Amino acid sequence: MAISASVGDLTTTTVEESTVERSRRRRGTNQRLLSPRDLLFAVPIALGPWLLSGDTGRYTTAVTAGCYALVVLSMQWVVGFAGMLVLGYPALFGTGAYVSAILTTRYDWPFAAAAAAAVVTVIALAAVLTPTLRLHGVYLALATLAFVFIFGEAVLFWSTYTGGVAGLVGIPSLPFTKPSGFRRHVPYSAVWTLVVVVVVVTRRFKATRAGRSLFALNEDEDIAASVGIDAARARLQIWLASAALSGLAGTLYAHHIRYLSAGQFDVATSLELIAMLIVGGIVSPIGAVLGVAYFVMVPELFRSVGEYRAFFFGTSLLVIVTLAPGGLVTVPDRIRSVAASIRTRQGSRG
Amino acid sequence: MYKVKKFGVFALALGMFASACSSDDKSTAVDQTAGQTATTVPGTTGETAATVASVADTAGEAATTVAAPTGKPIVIGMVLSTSGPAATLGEFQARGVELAVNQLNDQGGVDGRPVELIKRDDQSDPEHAVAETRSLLDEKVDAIVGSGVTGTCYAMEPIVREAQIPTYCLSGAPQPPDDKFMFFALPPLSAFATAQFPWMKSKGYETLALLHATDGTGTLLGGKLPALAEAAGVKLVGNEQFDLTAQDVTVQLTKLRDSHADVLYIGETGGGPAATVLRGLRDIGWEVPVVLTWSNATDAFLKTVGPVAAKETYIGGTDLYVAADLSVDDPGKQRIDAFLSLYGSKYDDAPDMYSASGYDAVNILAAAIAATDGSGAAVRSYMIGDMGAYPGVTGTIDFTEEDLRGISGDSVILMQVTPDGYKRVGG
Repeated sequence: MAISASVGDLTTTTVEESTVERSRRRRGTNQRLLSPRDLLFAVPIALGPWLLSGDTGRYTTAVTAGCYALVVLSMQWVVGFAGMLVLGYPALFGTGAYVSAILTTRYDWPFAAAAAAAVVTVIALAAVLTPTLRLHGVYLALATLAFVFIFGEAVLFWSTYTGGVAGLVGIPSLPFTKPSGFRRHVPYSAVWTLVVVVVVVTRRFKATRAGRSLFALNEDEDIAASVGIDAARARLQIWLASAALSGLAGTLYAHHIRYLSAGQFDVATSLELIAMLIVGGIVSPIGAVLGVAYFVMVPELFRSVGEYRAFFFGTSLLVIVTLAPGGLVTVPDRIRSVAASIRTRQGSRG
Repeated sequence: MYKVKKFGVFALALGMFASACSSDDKSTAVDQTAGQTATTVPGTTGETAATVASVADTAGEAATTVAAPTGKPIVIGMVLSTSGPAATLGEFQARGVELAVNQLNDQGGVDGRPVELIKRDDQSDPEHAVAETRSLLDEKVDAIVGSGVTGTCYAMEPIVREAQIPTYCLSGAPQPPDDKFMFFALPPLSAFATAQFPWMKSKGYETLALLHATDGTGTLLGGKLPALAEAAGVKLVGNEQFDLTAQDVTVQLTKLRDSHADVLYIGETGGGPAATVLRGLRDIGWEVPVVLTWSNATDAFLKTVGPVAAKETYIGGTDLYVAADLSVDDPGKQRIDAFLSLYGSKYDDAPDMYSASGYDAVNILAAAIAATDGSGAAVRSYMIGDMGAYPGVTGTIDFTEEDLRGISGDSVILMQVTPDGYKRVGG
């Protein structure tokens, strides 16, 4: 289990855990809500409507990115914290999207009821898939990737409901949304508020007993068991919570894009999601959001190079995972440590 | 730290793979849904009989009036899949759009108004199609051409409906139920799938066997064709599937041969899989007339697969592919020849029905905008009312309140693959 064992080695964990411990000691409370560094991320998100609403295309993309951020955060709980390499998230995300879309379009359910039903369905689906979680490493990855294949087939099979290969059309937009005026800000505000809430909750969760139990499990299951951690239960809980968040992200996505087809939830999506998590920072909630932002924004920057875009983007990923294996979120620490080692070397020479 | 390194290598491999996927390989369902690939028409490039004057006639303008257009520009947005898996199609559709815009401007614009084109790439992805369409609304476009395949068009439809922007989807996808402002190009896909039925009747063929792929188009055909055959009075005596990656389909073909079908229909997205099936037919020695999907009507198909094709190989198409065979009295011949000539003056290869659809779309939208006050509702009501039957390169287009496709399956013909190109045999 190279993955689960190695996750604990990543600098992010060490840095963030020590921050948590320090702040707990200092203030006798959990981690504080916002550090100055967090403002670097929080401020652009808060300013999104002003920065982006002049270009409705980018504003739309930012909402889509928010939906992906929620899925990547939900993956982080399972992949990053619990060390289970689950690749089947498009199936959970897609189930949430399709259930909510079908209930609102085919049965005229209100959004809130459809979204709740979608989340419950995804939790039920995750519960059914739980036996798969007994597997480890690449076996778990492969088994969970199979969810995505099965989901794609199911979409085609139940074409009466899903629209099959042609896709599902006529999905209503998120409630209270209007294409113009003040209410056009509803999707961005709803999705990104949720992202911020999930980031804050995730950081707090890491410092809780349950959160630390997961990290302990990830480090060494036997030792964790010896101090009374129930591995199966801890994993089941985080898996179901993660599925619920993915399902919720799916409902938001469905009513934002308003068109669903199996191709939006395929294996390529699965790999893209895991790559977002790894590139951003596998155990850092801010990193998860950064990873999504990187995948959304950077290919646009390379647009001017035309057909070489994939090459340049791929190379940029290669550089990141090689030089900052802890993800983008560790880049400042990496730079600091490299600078420190250069200074030390110069000092020893002098 | 060793483990960290190992993890890094794994992450790197994933990252590399995902980068390729994210930039180019996403939304596989989009192109498969439409089941179309870019096609070319061999044997037509060299036909430059049509004069510049006849090109101008097609657009209803005089070739001699070349004063630069000065009026208020007609702004047309273009959202097509010029990258990603559907790019093979999007590239040709974009050519048709650009040809039409350039031609209109060269002729002095539409009623003196220049046509401005804002080009956007949806990367074959519904999410990007949504974002690019919203972005075009900021640009205050009068109309939009796009997108080019089912998924991206369907994703755009609610947006243009709410914004009341007349939009011309270049896919043969079925019209969605609530559609009001999205018009659809090309005859319906089902018309291509059934083009062989009248010909079968005329030949006395009564039974059909279906071998379809398990991809999007194949699944669609596998589901729809049996009912269509029954409605046409043709008996489906065999129905087998194959995987697109299969290298050998002789088992399925042998079963189908035992069904003694008069004709074999191969349902797939075009290219390699059709070659695999044709090779299998040769291996088992089953000489049966074969009908292929419309997406095989390509130059590459004729050159690579044509020589090994069964003696009788047929494909659904339109008059555009058999322009040389059209009678001089045929009203469609002049406009098709003019389009072929215009296309040939810019590109080395021959046009296909996808570039033709882009060309028709721009001409119709620009004329409708110029003829009205340009508001979406007015343009729409002009297109379904006063415009009447428009003589397009893709066929005669006549929209009604209920039918925003406006082009019927009647324009679909059945073509035989011959060493000299396509030959019309029915429809």
